[in-house]
Amino acid sequence: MPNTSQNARLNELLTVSEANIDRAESNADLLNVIHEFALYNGPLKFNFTRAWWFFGTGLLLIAGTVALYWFANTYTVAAFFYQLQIDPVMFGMAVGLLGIVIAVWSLVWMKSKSDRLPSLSSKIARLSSYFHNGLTGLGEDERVTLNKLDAQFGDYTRGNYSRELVTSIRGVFTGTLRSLPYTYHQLHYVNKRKVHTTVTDKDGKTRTETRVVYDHYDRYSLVIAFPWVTGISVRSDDQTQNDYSYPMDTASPDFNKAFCLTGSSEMLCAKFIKPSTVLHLLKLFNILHRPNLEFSDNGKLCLSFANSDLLTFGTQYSLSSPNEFYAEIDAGVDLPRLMSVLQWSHALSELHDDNFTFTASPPKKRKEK
Amino acid sequence: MDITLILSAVIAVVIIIAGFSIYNGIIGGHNRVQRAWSDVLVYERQKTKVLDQLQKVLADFMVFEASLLEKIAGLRSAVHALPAGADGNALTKVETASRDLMGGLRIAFEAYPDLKASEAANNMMREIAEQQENVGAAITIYNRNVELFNNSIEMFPGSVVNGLFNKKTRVTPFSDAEASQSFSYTPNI
Repeated sequence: MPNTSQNARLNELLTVSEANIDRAESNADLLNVIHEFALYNGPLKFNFTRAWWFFGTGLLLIAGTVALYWFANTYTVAAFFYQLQIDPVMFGMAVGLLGIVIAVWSLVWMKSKSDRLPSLSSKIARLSSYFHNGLTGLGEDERVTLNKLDAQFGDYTRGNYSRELVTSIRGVFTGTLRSLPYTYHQLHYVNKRKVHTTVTDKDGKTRTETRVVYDHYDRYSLVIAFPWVTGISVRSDDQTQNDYSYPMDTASPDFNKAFCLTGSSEMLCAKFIKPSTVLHLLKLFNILHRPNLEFSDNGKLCLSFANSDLLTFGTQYSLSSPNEFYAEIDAGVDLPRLMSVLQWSHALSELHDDNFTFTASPPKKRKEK
Repeated sequence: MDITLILSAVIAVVIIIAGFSIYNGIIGGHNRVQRAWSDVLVYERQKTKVLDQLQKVLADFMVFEASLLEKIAGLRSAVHALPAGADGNALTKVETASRDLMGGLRIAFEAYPDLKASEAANNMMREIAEQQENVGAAITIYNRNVELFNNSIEMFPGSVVNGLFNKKTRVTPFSDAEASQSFSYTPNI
């Protein structure tokens, strides 16, 4: 039947493509998959005619059950069931349940099928943004990565119940003056707290009940090679673990209100917080929410923030229009928010590098905070 | 005790505490303006130290343009003439001299290809540009402090407290329109 054939062919194409995407290692692999969709002879959507028939049948069975209960007391209906020796209540219940199962199943089936193409399109665009911007996985256990980050920064010491790195990817940003290697991390952490509530029982007596509440949070960060500044923390949230021993305020009331600046010495703070740096740091609020900067002793900058949309990409087309989608993926998917943060970081490096020495100084021996 | 008396005493205490707070706020604001002005002076004088090195680089490349050397000397003397007390108007001469020098340097770079190709000279230009950027940022921060201070002595009730006790006068911000256009940064306010 043409209906079954259409769905079976599209299903096969999607299954093969999903497997190919899971193995994709370059933009060319993604383009090959999209090319298969461009060559596909037929509509790129499932035919839901039968599913709608099933759904209608389900509704009819439910309607029949309602009607049965409505007319169950009439003589004709009662006599009919009496002759068949069937309990009308049990019969109605069985038919109604069957109708609900058929209607719900057909809706779930249609939803799952209609989601497959957009989901695959999104996956292709996501991978394309990674390939286009040179992003790759770290290739090491997340607990090992977290331990390494803990040894350098205080910003990952969050969550009194649990914490884990959900995402860790690496890349290199090529700026006008230099390339900045970086890693992107998403930390998920959970805070546990006890909540006391006063309840009144039926006798009018009050008692205090204690229950445990788990608050889930995510914190995002970029760790960037930054050998020009060490031993400085600039934070805008309440993460006091980032702080060094020596606080310093600046001549800018706006900066003092927005940030807490600390350093491992007053001299380091004074050298770091030049007027141009003050204004540059204030500009960070235009692109990030609740940003913290932590310059470790081994020449790394941890720029953490609350924004979850750093890897957001905006594609115009999907696999439902394969030729346009092919051209879009071929051109490469940009990550504009990530790039704006990296450009900001590159500009910060320009403010703090040595204008007479372009090569980055070798990392110093790391000291635990 | 009479309730009216207690109420009057409470109101008087609140007014006195508020008065002290405003008085101290004005003093603090004035000190912040002075600190911001000192930062401007520090970065302007830092710029003159770079000029010494620039003269050496120019000499190495046999650049003995009289007008350029005059501009360097003019900027140096303008920076040295800056007053210790906060005064935005005093900056106008320095910023004009800075613009003249940067323009003269660009012309020299075009006229002397060896100079333009030199890494040392380009690094020097980057350093001067960075110093100029710091001066611009310091002036922006200074102007912000001046705005807050002037607001504190001109708006009620600060104007009353200042008129009776502090007796501070309005501080002049730096408002050279031409120079402001050349700054890379604007205050995030």
